[in-house]
Amino acid sequence: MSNLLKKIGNFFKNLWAKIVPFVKKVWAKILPVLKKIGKAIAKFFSNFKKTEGFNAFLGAMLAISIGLIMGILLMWIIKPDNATEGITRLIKGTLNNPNGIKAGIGVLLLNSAPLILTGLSVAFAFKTGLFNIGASGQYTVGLFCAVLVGILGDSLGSFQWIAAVLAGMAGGFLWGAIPGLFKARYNVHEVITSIMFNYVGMYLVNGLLTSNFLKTRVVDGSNNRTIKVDQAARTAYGFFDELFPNSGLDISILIAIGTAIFIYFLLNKTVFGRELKAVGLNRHAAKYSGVNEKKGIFLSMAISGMLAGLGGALFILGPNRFNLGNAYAIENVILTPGFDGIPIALLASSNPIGVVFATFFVSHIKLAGTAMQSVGFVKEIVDIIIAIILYFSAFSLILTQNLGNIKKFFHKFKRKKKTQDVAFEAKEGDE
Amino acid sequence: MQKIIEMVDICKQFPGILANDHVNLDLRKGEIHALLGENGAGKSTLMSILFGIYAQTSGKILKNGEVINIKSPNDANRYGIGMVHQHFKLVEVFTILDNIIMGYEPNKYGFIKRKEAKAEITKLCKQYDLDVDLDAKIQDVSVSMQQRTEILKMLYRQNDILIFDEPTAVLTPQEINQLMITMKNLTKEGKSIIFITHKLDEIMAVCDRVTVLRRGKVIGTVETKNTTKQQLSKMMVGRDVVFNIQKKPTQLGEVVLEVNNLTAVSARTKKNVVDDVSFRVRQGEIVCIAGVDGNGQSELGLLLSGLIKADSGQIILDGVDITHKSIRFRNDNGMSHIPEDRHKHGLILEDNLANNLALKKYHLSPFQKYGLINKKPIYELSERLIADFDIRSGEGSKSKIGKLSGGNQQKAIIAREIDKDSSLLLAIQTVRGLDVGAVEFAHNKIIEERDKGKAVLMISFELDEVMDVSDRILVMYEGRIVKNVLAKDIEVEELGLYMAGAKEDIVYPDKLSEPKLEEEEVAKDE
Repeated sequence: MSNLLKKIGNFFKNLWAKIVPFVKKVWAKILPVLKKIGKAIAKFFSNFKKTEGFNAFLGAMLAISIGLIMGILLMWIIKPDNATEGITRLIKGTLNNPNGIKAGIGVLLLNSAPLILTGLSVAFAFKTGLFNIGASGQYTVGLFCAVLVGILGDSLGSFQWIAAVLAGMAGGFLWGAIPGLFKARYNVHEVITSIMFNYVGMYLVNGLLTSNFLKTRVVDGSNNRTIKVDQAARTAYGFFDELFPNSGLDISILIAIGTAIFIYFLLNKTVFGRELKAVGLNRHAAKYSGVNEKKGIFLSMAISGMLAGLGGALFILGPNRFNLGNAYAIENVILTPGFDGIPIALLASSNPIGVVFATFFVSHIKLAGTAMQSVGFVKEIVDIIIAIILYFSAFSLILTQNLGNIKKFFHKFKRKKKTQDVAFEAKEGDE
Repeated sequence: MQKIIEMVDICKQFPGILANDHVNLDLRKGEIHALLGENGAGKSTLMSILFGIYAQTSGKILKNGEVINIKSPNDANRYGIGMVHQHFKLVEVFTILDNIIMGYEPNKYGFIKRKEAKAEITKLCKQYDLDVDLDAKIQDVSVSMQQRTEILKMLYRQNDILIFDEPTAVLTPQEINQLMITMKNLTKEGKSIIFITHKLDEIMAVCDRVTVLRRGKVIGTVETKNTTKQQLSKMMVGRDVVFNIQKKPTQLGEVVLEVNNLTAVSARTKKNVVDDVSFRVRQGEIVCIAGVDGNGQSELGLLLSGLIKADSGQIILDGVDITHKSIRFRNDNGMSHIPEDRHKHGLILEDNLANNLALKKYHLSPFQKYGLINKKPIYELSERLIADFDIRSGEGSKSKIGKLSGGNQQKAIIAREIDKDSSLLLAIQTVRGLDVGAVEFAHNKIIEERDKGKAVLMISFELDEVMDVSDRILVMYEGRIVKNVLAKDIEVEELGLYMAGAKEDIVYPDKLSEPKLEEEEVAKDE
């Protein structure tokens, strides 16, 4: 017995003796590489940490977590019995789709496309120092113009789709340009004009659609909606049909993301964008440096409107959304996508690329809201969560900016526990 | 003597810069204690800590030997610490009385007891010999009366430690004398004063002791009677400073700027703020527009730079009528402009130093190509100007300009405008808030420009600057030019009389537009 133990012992000893140098050898080779990788990662993060983008990102994450926690608490209070299932569906969001993950992601992207554009619309205006609350109106007018071309522009043939998209952009441009003009020329605050133009736009569109000329040609009298746009005016599926089957996803998402990249490029890399940003940061200094600040304000609002208008066009020209077809319901209600653009822009700290991801998140929990309905929760809970996130994303920016102070506070707290006050003061002084 | 306030080992850390580095300061009861230092030396930071605007990173503040914790200006008030800010904190449309009692209104059931307040304040006015019209509105009274209002505000709150942050920057020489007397009176009544200023003469005149800061550290505290101006400036800057600027004689060239019968009407008062002003500025001369703040010089500056539009008259730059041209046209065609209000016009505070230094150039080649911004030359420009003009910041080109000290912000503007190499340099309040070292530097740069054959038009409210730098002086009073004289032909006292409107040579516009007489004089001198 003892022999056996000895044998086993020796065996392990030998093994150990063989393994250790080998491991050491390998380790010696790997270590510098690992160190290099580690340093590179650390450098990347430390560089990223210094940027304001990082602060904004941290702030958004904080806001989202607080919003979700509050939402979960709320669900628990409302319906404790179904809370677990409800919360699961809230978190799963996109993945609730019965047709599987692929279809779920497809639907997510499909819903995101117009929201990215309204988010960009608000974010672009923010970057140039303007608060565009009128994205809804611009979205509606853009949508209307796209519908007109999409239905009446038969003679355009295969150009009909492009013409419809351009018409939508033109409509939004116009609807943003008017408040921009008022702001630039008469210093009328853009919040007031743009919010009023939401109503003006909506009633104007509804009024025109029910006018004698358009009623017979564009509107389906039986359900008070516009008829579907012509096949030639619909957005192509591209390769998304195979990539995300059963989702109805079309190339609109590509256009939306492309636009986001373009706007990022415009704002950060071009003279034109720099001038617009300068107007936003300090109108007087921009003027002093030779920028025509009135033209800047006008163009900012108009471009912002154009983005929202493009969103409206992409929405209405998309193939078979929500099984309702591509139709606009003539109701005296302001369309929500424009307003959804505001929390998206805030959450993204007005960063055009951030807007894309913020939109994915908002679409994700909006899908969750739909899924939660079947277990007895109203989907408005999602609106509450978004509202809380919106509230805290403003607040969390302050938090992250003072991150250093917060750390120091906890630091002090720890120290105080350990040592006497006097000693602590002396140490603080040494730093 | 009893120490009323002690600041012990105060440190204040801002990102990238240690603004106060173990600063010790003690204020004795009944003294005037000057705080002297270069721009960005940490004076304002230290006073902001004492007044509760910032919290110190470490260190403590003692009043009468007891540690006090000042978290806000309200706390400071409670401890008897009051401050007259460089930019007054007054409500323009309130009367002086209402401004004084604001926040501390004596009341009965919520109704303000104005009568009692008025009686009390009148008593204070008599006691300290402060002349104010309690029923006048702030917007209608002079700057010096506004300042007296601020002083009364502190007295009414029974503050016994008074901080004056560059109080003389906005006053005429006569008013400065009055303020000095007031400060002496205050200390006689047992108040203690901390006096921030860049003007060494003032320190020598009224202060008991001086604490000098350099780069956040205390260099030393000295008794005024045991020191000299030279010694103080050496302590402050770390080298000898030349007080008398050496200038070569003027070499007049072509007319660069010609202003004919320029008039602007104020939208509010319907008065002519700039009233039929005509003058010329030639290559190689520094023309300075002197006057007390608020006599139309600011508006004249705005008119010339294109920030406001003229109601009549004509501005000709390098032979081109620019009266109706855009600001960009002026910028690109020979006008450099150091603006009066650096935060409103001069800088985009949220943006970084490099972009601010390229503020007027980014639309030109090589800073852009096909409408795309080219970052490399912008940063090269920035690095060069930072080195040439000694602009100090936490993170170099990438620091947010809003985080730089006021003096360094001003240096950035001066660097940008001088580097533009324009035929006309319009410099308004160039050295506001700069320390002696930086003032010397800025003035030398401006004189260098003049010697290179540039035309310089300065607008300044500070007489020292006017007397030191200019070749010719135009005095402005109530929108009109009341005197046109060569700098060497006039004394400060006489200039003060013109500025106050007590004296006036009616100068006809036609005569002004032909300053031949003076040129001949100059020629003779040479």
